Amino acid sequence: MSFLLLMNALIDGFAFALIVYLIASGLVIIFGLMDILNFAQAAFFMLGAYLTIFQLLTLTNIYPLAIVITTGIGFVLGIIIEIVLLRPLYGNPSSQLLITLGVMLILIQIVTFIWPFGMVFPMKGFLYQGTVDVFGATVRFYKFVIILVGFITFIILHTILTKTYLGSILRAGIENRELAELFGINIKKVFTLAFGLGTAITFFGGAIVAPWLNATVELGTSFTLLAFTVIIVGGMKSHLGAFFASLIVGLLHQFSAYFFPQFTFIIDLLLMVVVLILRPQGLFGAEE
Amino acid sequence: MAKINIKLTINTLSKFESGVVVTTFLLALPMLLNRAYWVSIISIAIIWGIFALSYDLLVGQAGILSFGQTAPFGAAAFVSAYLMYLGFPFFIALLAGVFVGFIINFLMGLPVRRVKGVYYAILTLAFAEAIRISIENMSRYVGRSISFTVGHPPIIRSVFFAHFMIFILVVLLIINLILVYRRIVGKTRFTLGDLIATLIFIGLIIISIGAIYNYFSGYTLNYMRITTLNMYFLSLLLLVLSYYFAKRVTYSPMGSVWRAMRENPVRAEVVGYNIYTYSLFALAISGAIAGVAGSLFSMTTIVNSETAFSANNTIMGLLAIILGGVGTLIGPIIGMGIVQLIIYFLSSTALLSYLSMAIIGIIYIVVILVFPYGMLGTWYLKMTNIRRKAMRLLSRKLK
Repeated sequence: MSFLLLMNALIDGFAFALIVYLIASGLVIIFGLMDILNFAQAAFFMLGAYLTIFQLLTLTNIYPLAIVITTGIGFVLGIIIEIVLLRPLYGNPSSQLLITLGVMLILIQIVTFIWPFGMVFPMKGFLYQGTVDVFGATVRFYKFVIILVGFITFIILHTILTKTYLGSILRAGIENRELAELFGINIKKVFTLAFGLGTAITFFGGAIVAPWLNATVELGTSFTLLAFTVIIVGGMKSHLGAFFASLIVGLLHQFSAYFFPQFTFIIDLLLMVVVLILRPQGLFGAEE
Repeated sequence: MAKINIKLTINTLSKFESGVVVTTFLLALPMLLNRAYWVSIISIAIIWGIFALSYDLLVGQAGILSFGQTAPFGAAAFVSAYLMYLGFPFFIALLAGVFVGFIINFLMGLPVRRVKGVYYAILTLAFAEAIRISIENMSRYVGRSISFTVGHPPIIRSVFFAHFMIFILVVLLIINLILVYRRIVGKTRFTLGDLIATLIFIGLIIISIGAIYNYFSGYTLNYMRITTLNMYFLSLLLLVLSYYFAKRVTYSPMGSVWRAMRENPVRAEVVGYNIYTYSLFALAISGAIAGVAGSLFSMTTIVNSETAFSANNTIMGLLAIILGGVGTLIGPIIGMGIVQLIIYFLSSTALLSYLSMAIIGIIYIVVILVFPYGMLGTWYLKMTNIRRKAMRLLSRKLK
């Protein structure tokens, strides 16, 4: 267990953790408010990466613009899905869960149909491909960008949720849906908005991750379980919990990938099982 | 999930009669088709039908939403494939598969006391994925892929087994004759229902005589190998046995506790049932039936971590349940047949084969939105509504 390897694992772990956070935060907002376990979340993430690279290949060569467009598409897509597919089924969470499962199937299949071999991030430059020296370890510079963006997103989301009017509405909805409705909040609009927000964050995550992991179907399949692990460990309705849990899970995942590659996913799942059995509401979740 | 509690009674056929009708038809079917691939497609659909049945017993009857139903299935497939690879007969491999399915789901159910609802669904999904990933990791560690190909064990190759199933067909033919006799002779009134039933029975008698003739004249075995035929017979036999078993279990006192648990777990607990034990039983029995499907599955294709433990298996089972109707037992089997046929038809065209799962996903979403009770469930509701309306009309006329 050399120092260089440890350093690499640490930075990789943080970058990975913040990516998982970008998926899990959307999941937490959606589950907290609407009780829908969104299976399609990681598929949205994958679609975000694909759309970003597609835009860079055809539409524009400005990466930040592509990120903005992708996030916008995610917001609109989330709102459409909420209105068309989920709204008719409120009061029936299992059916909504199954609907999102169907959406996941469709998205993954369509993406593999259109781009069967995935896509490689096309842009070159120090920002995307360059490496820097950290105490002797050679680390890709872009990982630091991901860590920075992830932290900024967390701070912005946390501020929105705790300090603004929109955040207080969302928290009221999470706390007690009927009571919030009683106080004159149009909960249907809030649901639509929250679902749009959740998917937009995840699309943003996909756009951010594209230079590092490129666009493959693996993004949609393997991240589903990781995101679920995060929200179970952190508590299904707690945004702060999702952040800390994604740090725990991301670091654990990358450390196991570096040092015990034969147990990569197993350790995460073991953590999830232990948390579920010892503390079903999650490490940061409130006692029910 | 949509729950329905309405029992179907077909006026024309009694329960026993409809069972005989369906079994006779399915048993005679391979001898009437003159394409081997049809028979093998239907036998694969039947195997997956057993899987859907086991899943419906869990989700529809006991109301435990698990996403790890592929775990007992895959474990049973692995164990029985290994045993048959070592040279054990199918019967022992089947028993071992059933036992392993039972144990796996029992173990998976141990946390069900504390972990409930969506949490349990995620836990089971994680459990099944953990098995799949650890097999993959292990094969990377060992340096070769961990997989088994069984081929055809002796029972599939034996002519005796085919003869035995034909003998059962003859017995069913005689039962059909007796039933049609009882319908016609000794009745004071011959109703429309009797007429329809008689026509169905006579049709079946003709079909099964044709099938037996085709078999013994060598016509059938011209078109397909004895292995194809025997695979079909074996899957059908086990489907009928599992269905009968599942039906008996749901009508037993335990089955009624399951339904109470599904409708309202708190009330069932207050009444005095130990929910935990009953949940464990539901899981274990469902796992055992999934084990039957797994043992059969191990003979049809290569068994590795991807085919046996793929999360797609669970999704397919869920789709069959949704299509057929939650908790109806026969519905998911029909639903699985439809799903398999769709997959087959889509895979025969090159363009559509890439989109098959997407098209199935679209069907899935439409079914959830439009027929929330599944095909069979919606049909039951329609039937009862129509009957209620008819009764109302009739009573109005009588007044």
